[in-house]
Amino acid sequence: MVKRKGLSSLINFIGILVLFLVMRSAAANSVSMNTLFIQIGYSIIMAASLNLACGYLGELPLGHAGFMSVGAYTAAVLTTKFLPQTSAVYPLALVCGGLMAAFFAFLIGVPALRLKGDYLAIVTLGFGEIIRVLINTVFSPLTDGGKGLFGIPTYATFTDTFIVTVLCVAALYMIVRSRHGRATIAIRENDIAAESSGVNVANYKIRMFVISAFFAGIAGGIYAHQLGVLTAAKFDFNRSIDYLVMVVFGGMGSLTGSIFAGSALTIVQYLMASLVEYRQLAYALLLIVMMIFRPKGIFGRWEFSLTRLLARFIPALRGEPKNIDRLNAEAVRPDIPVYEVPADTPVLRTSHLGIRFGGLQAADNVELSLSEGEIVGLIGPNGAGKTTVFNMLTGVYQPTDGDIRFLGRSIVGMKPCEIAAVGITRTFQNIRLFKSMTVLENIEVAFQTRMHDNLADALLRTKRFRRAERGARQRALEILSVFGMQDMADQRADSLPYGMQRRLEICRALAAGPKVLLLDEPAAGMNPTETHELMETIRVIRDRFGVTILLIEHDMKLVMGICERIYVLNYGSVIAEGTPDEIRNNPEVITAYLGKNNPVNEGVGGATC
Amino acid sequence: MLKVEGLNVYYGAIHALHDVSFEVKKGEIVTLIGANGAGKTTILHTVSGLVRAKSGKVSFLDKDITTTEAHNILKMGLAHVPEGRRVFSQMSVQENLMMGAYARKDKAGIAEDMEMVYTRFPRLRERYRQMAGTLSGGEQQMLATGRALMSRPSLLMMDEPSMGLSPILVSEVFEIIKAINASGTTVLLVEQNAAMALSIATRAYVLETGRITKEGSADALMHDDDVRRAYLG
Amino acid sequence: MKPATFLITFINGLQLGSVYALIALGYTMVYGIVKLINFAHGDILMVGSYVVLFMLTTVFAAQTLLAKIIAVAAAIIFCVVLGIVIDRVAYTPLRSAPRISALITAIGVSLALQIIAQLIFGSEQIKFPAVIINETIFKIGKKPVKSLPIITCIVSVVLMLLLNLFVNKTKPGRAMRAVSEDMGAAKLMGINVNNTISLTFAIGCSLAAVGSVFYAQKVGYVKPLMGSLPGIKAFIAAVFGGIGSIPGAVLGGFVIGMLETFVNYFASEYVDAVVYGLLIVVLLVRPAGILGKPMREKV
Repeated sequence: MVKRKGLSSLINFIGILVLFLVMRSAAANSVSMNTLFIQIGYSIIMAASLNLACGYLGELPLGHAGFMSVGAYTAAVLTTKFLPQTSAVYPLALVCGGLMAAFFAFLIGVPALRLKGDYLAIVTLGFGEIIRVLINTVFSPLTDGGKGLFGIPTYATFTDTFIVTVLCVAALYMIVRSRHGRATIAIRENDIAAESSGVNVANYKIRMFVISAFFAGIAGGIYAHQLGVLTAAKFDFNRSIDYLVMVVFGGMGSLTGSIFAGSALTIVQYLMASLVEYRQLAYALLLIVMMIFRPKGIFGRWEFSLTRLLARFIPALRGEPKNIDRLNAEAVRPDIPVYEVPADTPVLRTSHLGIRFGGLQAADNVELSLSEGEIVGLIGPNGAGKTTVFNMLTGVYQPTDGDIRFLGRSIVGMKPCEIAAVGITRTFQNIRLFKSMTVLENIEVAFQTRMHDNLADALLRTKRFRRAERGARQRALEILSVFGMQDMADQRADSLPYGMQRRLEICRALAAGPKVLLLDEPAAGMNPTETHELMETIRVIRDRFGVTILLIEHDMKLVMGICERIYVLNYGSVIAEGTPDEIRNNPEVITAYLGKNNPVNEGVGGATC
Repeated sequence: MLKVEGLNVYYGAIHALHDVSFEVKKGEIVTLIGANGAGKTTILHTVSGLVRAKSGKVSFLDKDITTTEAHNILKMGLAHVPEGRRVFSQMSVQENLMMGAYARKDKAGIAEDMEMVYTRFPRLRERYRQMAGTLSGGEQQMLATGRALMSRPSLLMMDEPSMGLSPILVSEVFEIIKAINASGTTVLLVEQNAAMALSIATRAYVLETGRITKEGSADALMHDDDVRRAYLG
Repeated sequence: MKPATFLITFINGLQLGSVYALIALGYTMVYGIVKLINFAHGDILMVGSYVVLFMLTTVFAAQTLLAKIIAVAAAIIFCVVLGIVIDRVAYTPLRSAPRISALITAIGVSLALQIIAQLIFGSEQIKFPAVIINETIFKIGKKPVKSLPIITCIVSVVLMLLLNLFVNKTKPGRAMRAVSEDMGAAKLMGINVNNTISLTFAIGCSLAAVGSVFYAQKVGYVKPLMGSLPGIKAFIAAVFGGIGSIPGAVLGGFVIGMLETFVNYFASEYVDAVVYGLLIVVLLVRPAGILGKPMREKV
């Protein structure tokens, strides 16, 4: 396995070297070629870094050129005014430019990324406009304001641009193909499910946004040191759009696409340099037509692999399927937390729990208590507040009254990802899987809080990273095999049949190693046979994973069949609590919920809904 | 009254309905039963024009409506109570009912039907100015049903009317469906709760992974071994 | 600031606010119904003013009152048709696509409109003829109060009241609300959803066309990129008031207009920075906007 891995790296290295030599020989004899190649270099960095925020994270930043300008000015001001006049300082200047851009992204991102969807687009657009104003006013002692910054040393050469571009793209690739990348894609696919699986959504959004800006800053530095002159007006909205077009055209979520489109469109720009208006019109129409007819872009989310390409022609390069291969290597599994349940303390207990939405009291004075290893039902009419209780227990909603204690400790005020880490996970009424990810990846996302390799490990592909990845894969396969789903590991989650999707959600919830598992209508949409199997599964889960289960369900046969205790909720309050027998015969429950002629009482037919 | 022949529907690459054929005669309650994902809702969506069929034919009152647009199908007398009720939660109960009569122009008739709906569902009358979003699940189901009746349909299609309701309300909803049918409206009912659906239906079709696998009188299916095992538990 | 200056600035703020409010209404209505930030909306403003310019300079020899009325009517009609065509060609095919696709398309449409205008009329700014009488009505101290700001405010407020009446009290208005809440259910009510959406675009664009006359006359010129800035400001106004809310757009328009005019008086180079800053603060404190309803995703 190590051999194969090493071989693949070697192939890629040789591939890049060949490309370098070919391009250098072309650039050596032509100034215009040289210029073009440098332009292609920073365009690729811009497109690929924007792709991280846009294609992988699923946000739409419209001020990427703003970050480029920050990087460009920072690096240029340093080399022109402060640092010694030698090209040795160029790398330092580039990194400083990147860091400054990252800093600005952090300032913008912290407020903006708390918002959903389109707002980030607008805030970043605003940033792109403000930053130009600031460069020309507040920062003008450094930037020379509106008249432009002249005399920037032209350090950028083909060779160093090529190296920087390769490094940047490689770094982005390493980030995307790691647990951090998985978390990022999970956020794009379903942020609520990602958060409830232990992904710190806010943190990851900021991180990826900042990383994206960092690389844009580096690209800006190259730009400045190629041109030798900077004016703020160059970094306008249209420039941001140019890079967005590259990302969209190449494929949102494909670095290959960004490289391709970054090169191709830069060449088009170069050839059409004298026809700016027509080029812009072509861009605009391209955007529209692309979105309507091929919204995925040219490459969709596909990535090019030189090894894979060569393997087509050279059979010796074809390895075994990688999963099996890796199972024999050294691995570090994700942690399985050990919970100590203090004596005489319920695993989970709520007191006076309540929440109010505007004027509506959705839950009031809810008192639940779960003992270790119990299976408890939560039933009640639609709109009674059952899911609201789940949302409070998992931190999706913050209660306005009362307390929630998990293993004796209050968890009110924690974020959903923290609650997942502490040991409470859930499934959702309307299935929330990470649809375009594989079954295996869906589960791996939930190891988020149980893995220890950091971003640096991922970037450098350290031993710790490889071990942790292998361990995650192994554990995920183990969990799948409990449910008989190991053969589906590499399928896309949304290609599974409905019943399997519900199961996968349970697998994902278990992957985080919870003490308490909350199941929201696990039998919804299942026929009696499937429901029967599910009852068995729930018992197995409890015994095998040592979890305490609270479930919401309308199927009375399931609830009465497996729950040891039941809470009945009506209009946001608990109206009864007891064993299935007690609940079945409770007059208040019969009037409010079950009804007199209920099949549960008579044992005929099935109230399946 | 409603006739569906050889219907094929695709969602992208997924073949959701395979050669589905069935019919609903005047005055009947016909029910489609089957597991989640079998294609029951897709059938209703195709009939009411929300989804386009790849091939096959849908005719209503002897007119081909396969390619007719949703808003015109309603005008022909075919109303659809969607899954999950879908009431307009930011509008009052009264406004929701008015929306049901959107396609009609006869003011007198509308007022008459409004009165009829309020008589049938006294709870809606009590809350006529309340925002629909603040109603309970059962009340929303009544509102959705009443809203559909406001178009004075000759065929009413109902998608999972018992979904998410407490057992006590489920029985009530089925009583209402029986009453609507008794007053002359033909009903096509899609239900998870096969036992309840079969108990009020005239005829039924069983749907499995996009194909109709069984059909017959509700009585016969109620006693069919396969159906009992798979859907009645 | 002297009281007289204050009053004049205040009136100018109302004037700018009215224009922003007119444009913001288009953003908010379209967003309410198809959940799309119609980036091209600001450019409709630009198109409207070019149409007026074209009518008054190329089509008509003399700028008579009749010519002016016809020019404004032509601008409204042209913008309405353009808005509907844009929706049908570029946005309708993407109705069920991810939001980001529609947003990118809207950016594409915006760019296309700007560049087409540039290809036809050139990129230089052209003087805009006086369409609305702008005489001094009275004086506060030595400062004249002109008729343009006053007419702008009155016309805008009347249009907004009419719009409010339309949306809440008429059958098409109810249909718009129904479609914005649940498109599928609206179809089942017999509502022609595409026509309703077209109607929304038409109303938004006609308001923008009216706004274009006021705006172009205020700034005194037209140019291909003139729509972006008021477009973005109006969008900020819509977000400020609560996107999707009609009263919110009006409130937001006046607040932004007023703020911009006063900041402009003291430190003109910081106007944009202050407006964007306000946007960021509002989004931080109250993401749903001042009059918007907080959206709670159903879990």
